[in-house]
Amino acid sequence: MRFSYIVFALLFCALLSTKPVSAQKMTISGFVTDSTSGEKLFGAFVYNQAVGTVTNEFGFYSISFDKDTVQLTFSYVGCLSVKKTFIGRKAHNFNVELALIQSKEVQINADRSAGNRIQEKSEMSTIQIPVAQIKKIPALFGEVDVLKVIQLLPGVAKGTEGASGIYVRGGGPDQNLILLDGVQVYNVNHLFGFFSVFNGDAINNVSLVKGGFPARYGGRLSSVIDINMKEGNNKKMKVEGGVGLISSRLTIEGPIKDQNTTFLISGRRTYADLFMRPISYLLSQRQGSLGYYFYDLNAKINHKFSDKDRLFLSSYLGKDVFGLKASTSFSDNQTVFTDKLSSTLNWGNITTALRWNHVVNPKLFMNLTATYSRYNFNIGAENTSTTRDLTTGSTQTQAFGIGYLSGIFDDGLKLDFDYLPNAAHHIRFGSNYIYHTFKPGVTAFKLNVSGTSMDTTFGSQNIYAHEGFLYVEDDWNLSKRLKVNFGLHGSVFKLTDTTYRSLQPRISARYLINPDLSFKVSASKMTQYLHLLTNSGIGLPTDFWVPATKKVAPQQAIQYAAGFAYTFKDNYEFSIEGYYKSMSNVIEYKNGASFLLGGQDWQNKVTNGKAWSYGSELFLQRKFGKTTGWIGYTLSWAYRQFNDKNNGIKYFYKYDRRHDIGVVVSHEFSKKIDVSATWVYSTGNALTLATDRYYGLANSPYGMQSGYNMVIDNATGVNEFRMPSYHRLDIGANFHKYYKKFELTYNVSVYNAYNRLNAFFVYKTVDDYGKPVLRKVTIFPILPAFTLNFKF
Amino acid sequence: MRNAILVLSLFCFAISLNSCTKDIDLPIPETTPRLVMNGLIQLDSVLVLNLSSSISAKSGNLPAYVNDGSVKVYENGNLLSTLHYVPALNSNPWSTPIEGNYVDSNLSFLPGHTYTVKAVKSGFADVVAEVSVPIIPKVDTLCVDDVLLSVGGGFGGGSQTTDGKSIKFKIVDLDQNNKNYYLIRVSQFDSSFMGYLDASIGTNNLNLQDLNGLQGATESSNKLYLNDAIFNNGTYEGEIHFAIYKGGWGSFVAGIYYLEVLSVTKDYYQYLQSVDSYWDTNGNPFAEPSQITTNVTNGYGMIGAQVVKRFRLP
Repeated sequence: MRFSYIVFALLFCALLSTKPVSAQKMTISGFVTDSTSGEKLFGAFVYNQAVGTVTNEFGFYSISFDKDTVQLTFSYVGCLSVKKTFIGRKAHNFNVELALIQSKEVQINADRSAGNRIQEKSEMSTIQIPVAQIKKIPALFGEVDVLKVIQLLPGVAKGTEGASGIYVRGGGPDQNLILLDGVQVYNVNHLFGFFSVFNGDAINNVSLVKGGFPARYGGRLSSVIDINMKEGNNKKMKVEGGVGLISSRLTIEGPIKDQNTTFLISGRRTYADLFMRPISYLLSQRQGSLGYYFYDLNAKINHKFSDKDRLFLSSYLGKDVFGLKASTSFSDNQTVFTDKLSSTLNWGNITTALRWNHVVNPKLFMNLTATYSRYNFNIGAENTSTTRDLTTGSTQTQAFGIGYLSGIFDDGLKLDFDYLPNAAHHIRFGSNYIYHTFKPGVTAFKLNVSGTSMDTTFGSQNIYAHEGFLYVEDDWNLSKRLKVNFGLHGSVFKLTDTTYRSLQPRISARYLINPDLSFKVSASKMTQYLHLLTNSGIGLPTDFWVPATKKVAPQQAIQYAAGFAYTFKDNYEFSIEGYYKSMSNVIEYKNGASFLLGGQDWQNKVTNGKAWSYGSELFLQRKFGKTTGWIGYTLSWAYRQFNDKNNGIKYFYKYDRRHDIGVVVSHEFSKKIDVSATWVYSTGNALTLATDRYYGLANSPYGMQSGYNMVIDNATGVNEFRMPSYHRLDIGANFHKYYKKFELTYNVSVYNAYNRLNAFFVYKTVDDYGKPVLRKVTIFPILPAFTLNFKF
Repeated sequence: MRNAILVLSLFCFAISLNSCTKDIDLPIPETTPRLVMNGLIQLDSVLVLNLSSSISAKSGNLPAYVNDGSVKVYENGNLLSTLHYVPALNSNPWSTPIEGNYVDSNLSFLPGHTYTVKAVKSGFADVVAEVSVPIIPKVDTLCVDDVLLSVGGGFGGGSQTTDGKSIKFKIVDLDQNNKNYYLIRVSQFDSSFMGYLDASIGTNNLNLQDLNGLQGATESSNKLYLNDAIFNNGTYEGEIHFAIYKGGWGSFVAGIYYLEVLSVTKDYYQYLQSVDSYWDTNGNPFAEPSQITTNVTNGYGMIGAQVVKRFRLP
């Protein structure tokens, strides 16, 4: 509560120091865009000597001065700076286009003038990754994957080998708010987690916030991954795509009629099913076939009505489809028996955002977003048995079907304002409302026996919930050295019989020790009203979302962080951070419970407890130049404690990683060749293993007297042991060929180059000599991949 | 360049064909053997207490029975009985004889009383367990109907219907001062087994806790777990059904069915659930292994107690 008072007091002071808009002041506002594509630049720096501001995610800036003449510099990482002089105490509307830098020398100069360096920002624990760099990093089967790149950052642990699961600072996979154009994406996995749903060709920028959360974010405990789609090139029609080992993709973007309306459409589809179906058909002696594929479709259109108004409509549609069909038939002299089985497993997301950007006045920017998000998971099987009597000609049919459906549907409205009253303040405030529909698992049975039919469903009922929040935050330049970002996030979650409320203060501050070095601290309280029920933790579609209820309270977390940020040799950013995070009302399945076990309500299958984690992260990054990349190291501890598990004793979280290292290097030899490599090392996942073997009281009504002796291999503690450590080297090279009107890129990559047999999972078994051993199963040995990319 | 890529691809392909499984030593320490004490106290049966010792899970051997230990039963600190060792009791011809059994056929137990069982064996730490025998449950009403059930089906198998019975019952919670733990079971006689088998119980009220305001009921294949977290001091009305077992080849099915409502100790209740979970998750590398509940201090095992109210079904 004291934390809230401090933030309230700061807000009050900020209000007093925020002088009202004066007609006598000079206010310069507008948008900063990329001159090549017309894409808005998020995070461009606009400054005049000592004071400056940063563009928001829509490229908008506003800055005010109590002067008659001001020279402003507009800069962005990797772009040539632009200088412009403004005269007169009035409102100036100035849109600027920044051009990409071509030569190395200018790049360094540009970076020096960027002014938006890591040590100068009040935010901490935040990393922005250029999409161009993401595309260079070698990937599994050559599939560019944003989430796998995020896994290489310090503080972020991956789950199992190859999977896209993300565990930030000891948090669970459900504690990440993953936004695509402002809309929550609930299941970000394809192919059981081996690929994420984000198509690199359609993405404009990616940022990860893992601590020191600004007040505008809420609803998750551990991280925010904010992904924005490209708006579409407004200069010219552009086509790019690629043909890979497992999928192909195509993106088309460009202006419609004039530069005021642009579109982007991007698709990706795998084609494993095209081979799997005929092969499985032949292997099954023409009795059945199976296939699997996934696809993604991103589309966006935006129209600029005026300098003040712009409308965006963006949508994502993705689905994984697995299908199995089998048919058997046999006969004797009198009867023909036919058995047909079809089984499907599919899951997918649909998200849509309709956004209206409006410049209310030169100091006030508004963004209104209507959001729509659907996640569905279906599994079903149908069996039809037909018996035909050859003598009488009569036919008897029995049909049996089972289906399981779960999902989460969201409809929402979000209103955000950016208010820049003077150069010292950047105030953000707004609200958000989401109407959730949870479908936490419904099982349906169908039975038809010779005309008599039964059709029934059971399981948890749909749950409807209202979630809303209000926030206000200020990024306040208190002095030349001290800058504070503080705010309040108040949220409410309402179910039919319960209402939860939460006031979450947030604060982060930086103190500039010298122009290149700063000290930063942050504290934030987070509340999460959603839980993810997961058995495996590997991102299976069977994981499903459920709300906090009367029985199952919302998750809460408090995180503190402190560290230093330092820029040296103009182009190297270094940060070191320590953090402590405590979480309450974290849930897990009770021992042995799973999503399909019986038809019980999920609330009776879970147990709640607490979690905490702490650690230190080092991050050294070189953002541009011929050689780019980063080195990240994390030293961390993560714990869980549940009354119903491990006899109430604390234990290591499954993804507790003592050491985690990620090294990413890209080097451009020439315009024709660039190479890249990544190396990762992490402590093995925590593992529960039996330590003692003994006879147990037989699970029989007659106890030991039944003549049945039951041998138990008992684990005395949870997660006391470790899987083997994980390490892997990936290398890749791009060979570019430039033609008159198009560019071809041959991408060759090798995943797991030194063929480390990392464990996907382990299980206890006995070897050929009867000795109990741990068997390690590897699914990704050395894997070469080749992708042909084109662009014109 | 093209040749280099080809050679690299072939090399990678060849390596990727190598085995994707590898056996490694279990990263567990050698553990100190402990005494293991198992037994189930029932009002109408002789307590057979089994004593054995634990071994390391690294071992490929079976644990050893302890035939030369000392087992004593106390009530309120007073020695009630010293159990004596009996060689291989009721051994099953298809399995290793169960040694390590200790009995006293004169020893009887009373509902509501608390007993302490202590076992001693040189070279091991003394082990002790305390058990309070539950009181006999009260079942108020019982209504049995013949029904037609659908069974089977699923992947590759057609469903079919079979005869079954539906049982409606009401349990009255008598011990109002304590949480009580119940098991509900149906047994039926099968001549091939020469005894009673648990029937597979189902229920249409899969969300029992929602429909009846009951928490803590879980299903199992052959019994229904039920604790009185919600209906403490009240009554619980439930409905279950089971398919009539027709018997295998050579079976004689007598058509004799019993409904049993068992009141069990909390430790035993949790033990049974942990064993169920253990077998559900055993061998599944993605599931969290279940820990087995024990109430034996300094050792392992379970000294449970149960009292039964049994009804022969019409």
